Amino acid sequence: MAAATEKWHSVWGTFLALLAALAAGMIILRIAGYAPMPALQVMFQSAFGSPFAIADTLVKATPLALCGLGVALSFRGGQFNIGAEGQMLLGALAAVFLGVRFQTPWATGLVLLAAILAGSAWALVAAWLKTARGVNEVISTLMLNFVAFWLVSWLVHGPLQEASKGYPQTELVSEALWLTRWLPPTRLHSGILGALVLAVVSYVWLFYTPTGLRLRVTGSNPVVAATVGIPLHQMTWLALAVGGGCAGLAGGVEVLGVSHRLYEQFSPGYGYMAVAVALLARQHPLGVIPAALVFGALEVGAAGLQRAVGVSAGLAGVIEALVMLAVILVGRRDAVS
Amino acid sequence: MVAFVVRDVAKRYGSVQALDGVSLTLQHGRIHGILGENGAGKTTLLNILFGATQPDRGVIEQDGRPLRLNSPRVAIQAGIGLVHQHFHLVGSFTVRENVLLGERTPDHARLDTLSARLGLRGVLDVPTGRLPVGLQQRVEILKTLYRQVTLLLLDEPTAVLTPPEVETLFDLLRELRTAGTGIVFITHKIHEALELCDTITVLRQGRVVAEYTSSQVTAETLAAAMVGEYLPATMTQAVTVPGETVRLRVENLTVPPTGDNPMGLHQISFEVRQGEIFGIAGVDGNGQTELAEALVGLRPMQGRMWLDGQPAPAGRRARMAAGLRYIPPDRRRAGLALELSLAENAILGDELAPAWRRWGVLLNMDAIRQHARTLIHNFDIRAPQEGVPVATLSGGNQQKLLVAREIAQKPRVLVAVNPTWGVDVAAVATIHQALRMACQQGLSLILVSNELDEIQALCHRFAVLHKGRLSTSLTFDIPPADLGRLMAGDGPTWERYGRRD
Repeated sequence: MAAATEKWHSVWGTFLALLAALAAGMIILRIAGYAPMPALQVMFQSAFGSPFAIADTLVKATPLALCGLGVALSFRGGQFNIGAEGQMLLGALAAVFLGVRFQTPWATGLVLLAAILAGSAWALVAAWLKTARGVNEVISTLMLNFVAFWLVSWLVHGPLQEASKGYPQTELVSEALWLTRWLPPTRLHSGILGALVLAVVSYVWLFYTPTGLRLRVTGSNPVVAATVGIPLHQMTWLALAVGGGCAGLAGGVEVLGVSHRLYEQFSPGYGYMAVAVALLARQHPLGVIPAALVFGALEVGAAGLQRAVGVSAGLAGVIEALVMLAVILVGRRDAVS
Repeated sequence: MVAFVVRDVAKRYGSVQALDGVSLTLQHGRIHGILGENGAGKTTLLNILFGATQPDRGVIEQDGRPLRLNSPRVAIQAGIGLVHQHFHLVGSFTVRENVLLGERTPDHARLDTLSARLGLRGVLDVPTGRLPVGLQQRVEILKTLYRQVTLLLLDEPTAVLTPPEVETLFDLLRELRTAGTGIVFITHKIHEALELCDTITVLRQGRVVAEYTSSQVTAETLAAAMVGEYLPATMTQAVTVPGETVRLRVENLTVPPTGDNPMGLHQISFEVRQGEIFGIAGVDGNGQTELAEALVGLRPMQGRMWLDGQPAPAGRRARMAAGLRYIPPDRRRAGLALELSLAENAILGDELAPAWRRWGVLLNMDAIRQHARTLIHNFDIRAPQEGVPVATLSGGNQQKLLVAREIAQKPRVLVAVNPTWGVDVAAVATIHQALRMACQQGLSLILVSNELDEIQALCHRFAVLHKGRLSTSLTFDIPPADLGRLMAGDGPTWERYGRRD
């Protein structure tokens, strides 16, 4: 009973923090000379105001959910993996690399599998650095993000650039591999279904399998884990491999569902927002879905604010960042107490 | 002469009423014992007297005037000093520097006089980290005397001392009493209270159950008052008879000193038979944790070790598979995953077993919950249900869960370090009874404990650990004085009882 009450308290606290952050954002808009209430209305309209708007929110929420799952699972294992951005880029890279070579629809699965493995492999670099050399994973996963970004940048300017050499981008992946679009002309695609399924599978894995239990024990207290004979290094590798795999899948799904190719500005920072998503979800796989929707809506709403009211991209970004900060603050307070 | 009066003080922490209307009269020149189980409210009372905790209601008066103890600073000004169980000394600072820390106008003459009185004159300029524990405690007392305390509070001061050090401490406290200092002596050891104190107040569940003049009370009366009407039937000793076969043999176990373990372990050898309870006695911090960890495979070791005649494998998992289980000294740091549920904690170490599987891959939560309910029942663990996080259980119930888990997995050898640390008498009895019963069924127990009473109550044989060295195997026909000298590391005594190479 007490635990349930506490859970509701924390959900309520999170909700209040979101409201407070929005209010602070409105004050900033007011200072910048915009009317806050219409602005809020515009944000809400562009995120939820029409079927197209909702579709747009879902499109943004999909990679956020997949990356958020990855971050949440890594966190559960005690690994502060903030490298979802890089792992996602590697996943996208693998998807594009294979996607331009295969024509048959069944290869979709193969391409997505490659994306998962690429994301995992990228995260495992951090796992190796940690278990072999004692490098803190926060540093290594963050640094690997930059390596991944510049790797993609170089590839789309060079070896993987489209044949016409018009733009710094790759060829389109074969149309046969594209994920189904449910509501043309919006970009809503079947990837969101994959995110939902993966969230449920992660939930079962984490809470109802021996390995999930071991992972949670390790994340809760590594000394206890060692005492009861759980191999810590294995758990470190597992937590990062699973986290990287989810983020890699996000990259693959984004390529096959939305962009169909890879270019420098492929991700608006989904992998970083995923950290906030995971914190808002309290590292619970099922909580990741609503958390991803919140941030998806925020992303779409901020873009709408730019278009409709002419608020600069920077100011819209400030509002987004405020909300993230509020979420992290609430998460931190719980972690400390 | 009445110095301080505590009237009807109460304090609540969440759902726990730590203190429930406690009244006391503390006098100059008297030693007042506060006796109670863990969780009786002793430490809370102390913190309120020292101004570190604010009571929900009640008042404290000094010489008839109400005293508002908003902070330790106010308490010190009022002449109240506290010696914590764990010392608050800067190890790299000298005794002088530690005492004068924060003083604007150091009075060296006064410090010299006081340190001479406490026998610390010779070590005034030695870093406290280099002093033995008994002397460090004296430095703490010196700190309070320098600040002109009239009321000295001591929180379980004997927990860290060897028997000879305890005697020295008691002599010092008696001297201070004669000089007019009021002393509050917190303890859960009845014989200490009887030996030292003038007045003994017994606390139970946050209330004063009785107050005695120690010359007019017996240990039995005090024990009954501490425990209340509930006196567990299992206090009677079930004598177990160890078998003949050697279950565990350790030869020249050595752990080199490292940064976190400056002591190291040197050439430790002993053997434990089937069904035997073998004690490792000694004051905390003489290598107990290192020895336990080396035995269970958590710490690399040199030397040889056999389990049932077979060379023991290396590594924690392998030793667990060979039937070697472990009750670590600190349940919250190393024993239980506090955020996880009671049921989940109940299978840790055994979580891969087929008994907990459903459809090959999933955990069979029904079976796990059923198992947890069995443990809850058998060990009288007080919990609303098996799904609650372990963090919500009291310390005693956490400890019972930890012991229950390890015994339930039917080990061949169990290494238990202070398995009854910080639990009440009833839980101690439950845990001791469970350990004895497991040994009757063939378990070999290595009981590492800083409580000699516990070793004496349970063990067939024991040895003393001091500075990483283990004595020969002893029985309780050893003269008590020799035992005390062994624990204190007395050279000639070690010549006699040390291991001959």
